[in-house]
Amino acid sequence: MRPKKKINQTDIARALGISNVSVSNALAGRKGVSTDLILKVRRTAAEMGYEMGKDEADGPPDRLLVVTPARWSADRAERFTKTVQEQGFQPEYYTLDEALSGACAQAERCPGILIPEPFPSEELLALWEKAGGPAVGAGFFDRRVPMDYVTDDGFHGAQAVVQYLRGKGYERILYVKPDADGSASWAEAAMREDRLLGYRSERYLETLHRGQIAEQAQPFDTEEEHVLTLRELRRCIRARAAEGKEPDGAGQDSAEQDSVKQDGEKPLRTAFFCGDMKTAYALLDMLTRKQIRVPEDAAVVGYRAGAEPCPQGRGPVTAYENDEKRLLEQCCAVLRNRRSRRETAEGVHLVSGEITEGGTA
Amino acid sequence: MKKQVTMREIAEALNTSAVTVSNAMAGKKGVGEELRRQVLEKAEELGYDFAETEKPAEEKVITLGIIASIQYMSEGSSFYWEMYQSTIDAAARRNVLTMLKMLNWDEEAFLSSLLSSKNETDGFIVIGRIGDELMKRILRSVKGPVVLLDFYRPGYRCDAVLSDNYTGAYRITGYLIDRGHRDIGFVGTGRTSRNVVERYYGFCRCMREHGLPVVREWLLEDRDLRTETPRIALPAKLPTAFVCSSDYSAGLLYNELTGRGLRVPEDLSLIGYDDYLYGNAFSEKLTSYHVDMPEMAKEAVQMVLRRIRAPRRPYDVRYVDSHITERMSVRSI
Repeated sequence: MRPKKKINQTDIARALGISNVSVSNALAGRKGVSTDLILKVRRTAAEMGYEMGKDEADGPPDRLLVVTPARWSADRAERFTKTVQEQGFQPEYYTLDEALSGACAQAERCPGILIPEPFPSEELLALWEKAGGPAVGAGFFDRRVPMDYVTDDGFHGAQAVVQYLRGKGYERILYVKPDADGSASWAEAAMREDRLLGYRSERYLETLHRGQIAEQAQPFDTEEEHVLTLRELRRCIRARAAEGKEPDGAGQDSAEQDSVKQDGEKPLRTAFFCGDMKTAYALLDMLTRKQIRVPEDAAVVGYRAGAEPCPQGRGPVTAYENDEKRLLEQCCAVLRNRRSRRETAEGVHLVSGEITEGGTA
Repeated sequence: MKKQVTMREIAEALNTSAVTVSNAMAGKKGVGEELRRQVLEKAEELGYDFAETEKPAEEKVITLGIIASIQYMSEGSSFYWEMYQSTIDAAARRNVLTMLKMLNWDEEAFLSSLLSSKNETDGFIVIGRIGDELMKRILRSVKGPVVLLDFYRPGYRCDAVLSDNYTGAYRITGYLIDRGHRDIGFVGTGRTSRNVVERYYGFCRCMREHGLPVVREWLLEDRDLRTETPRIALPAKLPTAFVCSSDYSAGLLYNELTGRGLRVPEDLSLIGYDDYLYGNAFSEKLTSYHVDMPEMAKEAVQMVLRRIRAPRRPYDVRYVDSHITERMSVRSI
């Protein structure tokens, strides 16, 4: 068998459509190369099996302190480590207590701290103050602590879902939120709010485009129409079934029905947008039990945050998907920028996701 | 099949580096004429396939057309004039040339001038809002990528860079709440601006997070839509603070309040968005969310360049967050 061809910089250059010089500079992490490019080249190099030369690896990889509320499982740490290593960092894991007590001395080559799970504000602030160097929060945002954050874009992601469903001809789009059970962390609740408000904003903007707002007295919407919890939705479906009506979903807004042209007795095409996957799965189960077919009778679209895994035994669901890997890459880029004091946007860095079709819409 | 000759092999044959070979072939400065000649000769000798050499996009001097509506560009007083300055600056740092394409009322003439000068530009940056129909026509007909700056509508097949309306408004609302305010209003006309709508929802997000109601009568528009003139109608009962969707509306509100004998911040606190100083004396007092124009312009230029290199990338919309510039328009209560 022919021996495997050794990958060189030209191969990487060709693969990316850039010059050899750019690849060489990127691998060596030289100044003048955008961080974006460095990340892209290193990732491609790793994927292609490129062996870093002596003059390329910037000495031992930079330390990255990863601080979590509780100790992570080995599994979780391993997955995380792999992604972070591809960015040229070597992670070290600490719990919050260890970090605050100074167990991780900030050595010279440490570019900063990565916080992949939220803490209460006071603790985060304490950590930030102790750090004395760059820190980035991944997947959450606390406005009280002035560090960098990289999060998914729930607000615009939700807008994208509404646009997508409209594009597919769904005339009635309802938002389904989880039954309140108090189990969500403050950060998770905040991220869900983003999606709910994104949904509301897009509905409002649509009516703007349809020229309906001019008639209205109010410049902005303040009501939460078409937003239901699972429990409320279940009740509505049950009520409609009891009345002998087609179980095509809920939404009692008759004004909305009047304003949309109806084709005889055909019910409006209905879609349910669930702000999180747990609700989406629960809704799918409920609709199955009520013999409502998805997507024929109603569509279901979910929203998957970066680190949310796909549960065993569940089929694909059309959803706005976020990639944890992309989030982490951006975190590493932000830390690099901060460290070299390059100017970059401070505060929140949004990473967009995309809608992947799963057959439920 | 004959194995493809690589730059590395040429480099090894000449006892130089692959980087030098690449530079030599691309005709870059920094490689002496003699060495360059040797590289090309050796390449030919070894049978290097020149057709494969991709001339990196950085070599050609890129020219970007900057499209802006004349109404936004009155020199010295406009937010968008400043944005334009940031854009030329960001372009210059990347050795990119710019050409201003000012849009006045004659859209047809404008469009023809864009198309007739298509060989002069490699792409466009659009600053500020332009009409939907015209925008679509531009996107359909111009050569090269288009990036929108401070403006966007979904469905446009192009990239965009905006300030982070939602997060910014969330921050300034939080600033008020942290200082004890509970009765908070919002000023802005969402009907004419998607940016303002997003800021409204950022305001909502913060209010809801703190369990505070959004009171309808404290949602004020800053424009009379029939007459298209700036106008704020104050409600009978006032809140203790207003989140203003722009420094401009903050200025209008300030004038309205002072006209009634009310003082800022003693009687009412205001917080703005833009952190751009208008002609109003009040702007020196106004605490406001900063719009990072240099960063946005830098992003926009970068996005055009990236798309010139890779035209089929998926479209991207970037939101640039920033900080609050504290001045004296908010009182703690």
